[in-house]
Amino acid sequence: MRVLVVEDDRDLREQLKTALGDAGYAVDTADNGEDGQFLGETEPYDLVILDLGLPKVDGMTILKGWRSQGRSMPVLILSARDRWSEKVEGLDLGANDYLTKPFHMGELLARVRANVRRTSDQVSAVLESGDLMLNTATGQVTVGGQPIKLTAYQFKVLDYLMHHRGRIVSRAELTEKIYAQDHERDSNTIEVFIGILRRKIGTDRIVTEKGLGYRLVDPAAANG
Amino acid sequence: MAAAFARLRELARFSMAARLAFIAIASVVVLIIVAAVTHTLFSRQLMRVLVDPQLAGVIDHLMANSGAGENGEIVLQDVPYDPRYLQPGSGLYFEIATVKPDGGINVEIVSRSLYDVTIAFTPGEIAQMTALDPGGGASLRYLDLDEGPDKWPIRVAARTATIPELPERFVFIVAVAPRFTVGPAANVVALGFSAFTGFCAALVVGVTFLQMQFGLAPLRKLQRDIAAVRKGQAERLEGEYAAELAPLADELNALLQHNREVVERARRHVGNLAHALKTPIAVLRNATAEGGANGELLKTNVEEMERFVERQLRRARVAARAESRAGIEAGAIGYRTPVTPNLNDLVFLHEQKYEHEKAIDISLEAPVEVTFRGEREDLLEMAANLIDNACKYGKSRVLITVVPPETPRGLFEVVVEDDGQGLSDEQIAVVMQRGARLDEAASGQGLGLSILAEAVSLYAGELKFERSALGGLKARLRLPSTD
Repeated sequence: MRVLVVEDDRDLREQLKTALGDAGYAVDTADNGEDGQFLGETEPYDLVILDLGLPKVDGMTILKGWRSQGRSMPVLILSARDRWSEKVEGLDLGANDYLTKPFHMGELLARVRANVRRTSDQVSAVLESGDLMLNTATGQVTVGGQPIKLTAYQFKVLDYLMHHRGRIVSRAELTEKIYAQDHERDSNTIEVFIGILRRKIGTDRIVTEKGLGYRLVDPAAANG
Repeated sequence: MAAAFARLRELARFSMAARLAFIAIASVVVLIIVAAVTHTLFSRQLMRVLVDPQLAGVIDHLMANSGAGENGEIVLQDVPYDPRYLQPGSGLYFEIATVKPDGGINVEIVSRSLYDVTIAFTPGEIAQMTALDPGGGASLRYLDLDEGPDKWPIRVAARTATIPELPERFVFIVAVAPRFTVGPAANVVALGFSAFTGFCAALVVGVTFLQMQFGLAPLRKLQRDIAAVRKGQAERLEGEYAAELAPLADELNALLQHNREVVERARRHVGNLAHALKTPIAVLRNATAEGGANGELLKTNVEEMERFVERQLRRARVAARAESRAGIEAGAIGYRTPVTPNLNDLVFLHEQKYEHEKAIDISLEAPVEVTFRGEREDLLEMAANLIDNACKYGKSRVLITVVPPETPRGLFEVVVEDDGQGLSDEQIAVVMQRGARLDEAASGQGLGLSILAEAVSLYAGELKFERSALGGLKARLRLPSTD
């Protein structure tokens, strides 16, 4: 797992590098926008932690540049800017997550983990179920061409269901595949994710097989 | 008079009206003086125009009717016809005198009106009357005496001549007291002058009053407009001003603009400072998590700094909002924020935020598109506050519903409910009360409703808390729509 940290504050950069290193990531750092942008354009990262207020080139510009060039690695914005409109703008520009300073290192690591997982075992392919499309490379999900915003875990659940579309996937199986082993989860969490997914992609796409689990179907197809 | 004048000058230093009054009074005084002088000169000239031909005529008459008597004396054959020459003190007199070689005169004949009195000529006056012209002839002379036989000023005409068969040179003198002859006409003139002067004075006073009333009106308008700016009803002086005041208004606007910039700069400075502090605070916080000898001490102080930064940023935000208050209250165009997409973004952000803490299903039900008549940041902040609380206290479900306004431009509703513990009726009452006040509570404490309440009141919206059918708290946020 390679992570890029673009942060101009030396101490914070070092702390992030240490914490991420301890968590098992290979960490590259950049202390200004120009270097950060270049690294993001040329190196394959599994995740980028991006500050917004950077010397030379600001974070929003960098993010916009990456996304317009088709660079699709998850980007977590780490900024002191805490206005809601700024967070929303970051998401609209293609950020995957937004964390405001000051933050808890534990929370940052949790979010990094969640975002990395979503794309970790990706197969560069577009999965389809009727007009529901999931691009495992870019992390984009569309229904009838309309993009749908999914969080890292929601994406993960849908990704697994689409890989096994038509087949019944049990709740235990989903829990096991989605969370790391050290992660304690109560099983109705999956129910909540399914509920959210149903609302976002359409209720009748995920069928509950009583006592067995869930099955992804294409409601438009004749046989389901 | 002088004291009153000084008092006026003193007043003029402070009051523009007093200045105008001062000028008016000075003008009236000058007007009266000029009128008096003009009247004196004018009436004298009038008198001459009226009297002199008459006097000349009488002299001609006297000369034509004088002749030598039997004893070599002068004889007047015909007295000028005017009864007043017969009445003593009537104001009309004549006398005929011989000019003595020493320059004096000997009165020979006088009008009957001079029987009891005489005209007292000084030697200089006699010389003036009797002197020969440079060519040797004698012309008609006029002179004015301050005191005639009847004690009033008189106008005198005189001419020297010789009479056939008599050796002496004679001087013919006719005098009139204008008071008795042209007096009534002079009175008419004086009356006319007084009336005209009075009219002019009244005009000056009237014009001055009008100047105070209407001439100074633009000043009062300027004052009203400045007051409106101070009260926050206007951002700058917008009206049309008199040419003399326009530069003043421009200067004031420039000053206001400058002030705003200074305040804005200071605010940005504080904001930047607070933001700049966030990174070092993050560093310190991470460092304290590692423990160490002074771990607890550091932790307390870092938290203190965090609260300070939050408070400053919040204050700056409240101030910025107050700044745009005028525009919002005026329903300024440009404040149009679509509700559903923004709520959608908030739902996503909160799903993300709480995802690794707990499984919570945030659903948004917005049957129709509604547009908020206000700023996007405010909508996001108000809604985020409620959604965040719902996520924090809810067990597994948060439901957001958008209810369209009942009337055009009415209030639409954002209802946020959760399935948490909820609040008791008493707690709801306390929250509502506290929400209504603008306290500067530390961040993260309680429901953090003070900012929310401030924004809601700015938009003349409403915020109510009830019990939700889901079991938890139900917050109803009502805000103005554009549709």
